Amino acid sequence: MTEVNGGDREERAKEALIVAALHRDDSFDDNVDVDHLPRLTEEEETALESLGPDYIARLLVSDGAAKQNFFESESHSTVGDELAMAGGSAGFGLDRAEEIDDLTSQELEKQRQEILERKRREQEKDGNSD
Amino acid sequence: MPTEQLPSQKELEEALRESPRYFVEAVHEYYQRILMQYIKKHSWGVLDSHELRDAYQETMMAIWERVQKPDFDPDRPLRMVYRIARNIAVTMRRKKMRCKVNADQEVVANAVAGDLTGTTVGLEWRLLSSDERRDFQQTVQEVIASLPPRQRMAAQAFAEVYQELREKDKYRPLAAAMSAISGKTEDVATAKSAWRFARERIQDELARRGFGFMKGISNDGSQWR
Repeated sequence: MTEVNGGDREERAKEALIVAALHRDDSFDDNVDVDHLPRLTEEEETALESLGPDYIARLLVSDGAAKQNFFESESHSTVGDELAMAGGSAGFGLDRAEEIDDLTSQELEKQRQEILERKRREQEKDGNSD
Repeated sequence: MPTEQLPSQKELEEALRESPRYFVEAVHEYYQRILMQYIKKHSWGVLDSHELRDAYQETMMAIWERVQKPDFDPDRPLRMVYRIARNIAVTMRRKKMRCKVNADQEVVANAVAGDLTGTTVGLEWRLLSSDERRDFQQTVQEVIASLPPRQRMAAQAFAEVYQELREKDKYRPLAAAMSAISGKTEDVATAKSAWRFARERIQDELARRGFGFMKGISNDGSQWR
């Protein structure tokens, strides 16, 4: 670092305090001051709302946590519901490919194909029985 | 949602002991907006709305992974939530500003401490109470958020490349960081000028709110610089 004179050192100290204020880590505080957090813009609010009401259910499914219960309610659900659960619909919140590892992607795709195939067979069967 | 309606740390702790899933659902239901705001704060507002939402999703996934670990300690779970949110916000901010993602915060802290040592400003800072320090930091963040876009960008870039600027004593890293945010090539002279204007505004506002030493004014009103 270059040598600086007294006046410049005071200016640097002021800049250092500004930098420190921005870098301050309050995550160790027991009480984060929620009243002074920056407000969300309308666009940011919309982005948050776009996660949808079933976001956590989808999050847990994508992690494999609820896979064991995945087909339990199939008789009450629609194809759209099931595809959403399998991560195949346009409304799937975790829409960034890089976040889903290869294994999970394969599992989700397999589930999606199974649902489509099963529904197709059911529809054919219904059609034949009419 | 009004703060008083939020589940307490204790209630969240109980939810977590009951079931990790229940806990994650409670965090999402009650804290989603606060977490988005918190991520926005620590990403210094450089992320767009989609990136902010991505950061929120990464946060929720990381929380879910964390709470499922057998050795997870459910005491004071909000700390863990904020810690994860902050880390993700900082990582995404640095990626966006094309800075070293794993830059050591300790190094920045040491550089700040070094710049304060032996100065009147450093002495004045040490004399502040913890509430006053918090108020100071809050003011800096608020003023930066309210600056015109170019000045705000300059202030954010300056803070991000502070250590590098100090080592090289040149403003090229500032221009590079600003270019990363704006997506346009920023020249060194205009980057430096934008930072100077931003710094002036921040110092003026801090002085107006009682931190006169940022304009070289002591508590007794005398001018030392």
